[in-house]
Amino acid sequence: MTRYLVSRIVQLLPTILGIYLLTFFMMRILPGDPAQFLEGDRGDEQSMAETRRRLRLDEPILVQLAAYLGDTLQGDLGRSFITNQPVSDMIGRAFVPTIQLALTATTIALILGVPLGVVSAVRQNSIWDALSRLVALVGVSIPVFWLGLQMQVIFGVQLKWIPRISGYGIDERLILPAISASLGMIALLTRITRSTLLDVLNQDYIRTAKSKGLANLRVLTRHALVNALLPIVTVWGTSLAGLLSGALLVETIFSWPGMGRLLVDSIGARDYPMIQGLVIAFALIYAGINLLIDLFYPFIDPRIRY
Amino acid sequence: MSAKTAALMPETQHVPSQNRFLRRLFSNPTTLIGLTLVLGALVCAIFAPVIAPKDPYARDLSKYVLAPSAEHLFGTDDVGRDILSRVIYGAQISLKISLIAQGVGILIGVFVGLITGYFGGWLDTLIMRVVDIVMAFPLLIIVIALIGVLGPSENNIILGLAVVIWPNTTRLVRSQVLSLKEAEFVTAARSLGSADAGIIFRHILPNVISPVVVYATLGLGGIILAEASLSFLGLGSAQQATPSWGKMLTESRAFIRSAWWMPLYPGIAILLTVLGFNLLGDGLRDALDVRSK
Repeated sequence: MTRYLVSRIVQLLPTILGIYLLTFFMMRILPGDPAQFLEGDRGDEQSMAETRRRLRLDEPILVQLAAYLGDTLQGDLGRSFITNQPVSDMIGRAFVPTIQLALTATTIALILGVPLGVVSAVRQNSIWDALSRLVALVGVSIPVFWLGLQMQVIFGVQLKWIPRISGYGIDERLILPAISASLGMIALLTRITRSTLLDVLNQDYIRTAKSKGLANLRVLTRHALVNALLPIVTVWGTSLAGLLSGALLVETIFSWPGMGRLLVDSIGARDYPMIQGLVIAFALIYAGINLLIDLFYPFIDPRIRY
Repeated sequence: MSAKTAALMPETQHVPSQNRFLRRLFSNPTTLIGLTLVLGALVCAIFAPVIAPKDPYARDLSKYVLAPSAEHLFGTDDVGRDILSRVIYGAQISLKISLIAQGVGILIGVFVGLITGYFGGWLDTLIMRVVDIVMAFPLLIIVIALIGVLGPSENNIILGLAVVIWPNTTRLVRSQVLSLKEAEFVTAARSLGSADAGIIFRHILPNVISPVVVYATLGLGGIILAEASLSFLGLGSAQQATPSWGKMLTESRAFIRSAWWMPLYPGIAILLTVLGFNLLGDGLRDALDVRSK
């Protein structure tokens, strides 16, 4: 296990380094002088030179890269052009709302998506099957930001069930964004649960379990579902990783102060250190969660050993 | 090419005959629904000036935020423009950008996949590492960061989307090429003295086309969603007044308490178009897959 973990992390390093170099050079080839941007119109020659020195912009690009890499390894991603706060602090603050939203959404998706897929597979070609396939189809086709807007209109404005339809808080304000963010995942989980379970239900050991006279529910939970768990966990994990980084549309619609919205705001303000820091953070989170899922596999299926 | 080698070089492998393919494709009702939706969006985009009942740019402040009526079936927006006409015109920018981006991304992906898969070596290793890097990353974030840095314009959006489209295509094509280059008809062509370029483009390419077509059609829904997301976030290419579905949704956010029709229709247009490409893609996949019924 340890050897596997180390080899996976070693494999990950070139990917992370690649993304790091890509963002570094992308920011450096941009037209315009960041010092000019920081100082705005009020900057005179002296303060511009001072800012350039502070940002190390007057040094050769490889020296800049070495210094920046050194800072990053110590957890220093620079300061935001706009707020002048450390980028790592701002990302840390935005990470909390993002993970709250992502975990809530993935839990909703798990609670609804898996049972829907199970019913769909067990009652194949029934009305439930048709319904769950419709949910899966609409779930992958619907624009998530439009769904969010429509839910604000219906539940906030017309039915008035939810008085506060945007902003941050672990209360009614979490409901609509979590549901919006979960729909795509419900679609994926329903689809994968249905297809995996259909495969498993045709296996010999299921026939054996049934012919032994076991109750249908027991066959389903103890024999079938356990063996269909691997792809379900994979989809759940990759969706969680996707949500942590990809909930930016939902966060924007519901004014949820997470990392996605921070990225959108930083792009609007051309806050390059912030964009760069966020891109690296997203890459790390995405890769980290995918690694965690892989490490989790042996617990689901003892045949898998690292 | 002799008759003998011609027999060894089938035009298409694992693909049902054209008639059987079309029969399968059109016998599936959901595929027909998908095809109808896609054709509907294309007709809107191409014939917008003929179909649209009003001028989508004409402002009339006396018609400020009117609810749907016989004169304005989808209502009007905050500067009195007809929403139905703007939704119809909105198909133009959405389909144009998505189709070009998908076309460019797929062309690059197919070309790179053919070359790396056929020749292998250090170039293959290097390019597959790049593919890994791009794919180890949430796609929308890459596009948004790229466009955020390069600035929102039609070309930059196409470039940004193409950057995330090609790696998947390359991986798909490369895996097919790896097995096809060992096939008998390729060995036969080589032993008859065909040049590498001839083998790649005349013999291998026709055999990788059908999975690419399915992949491209299925992917278009996602690209349309991505394009709409970008214009929703203010990173779209549309000029201030040009109708775009994503931008119409952004503009409607300020009116969700007073005008439900403003966010409703552009969203339905996106949903139906994406649904259309997804259903058509599923149908194409089933019709081309010999294992399915």
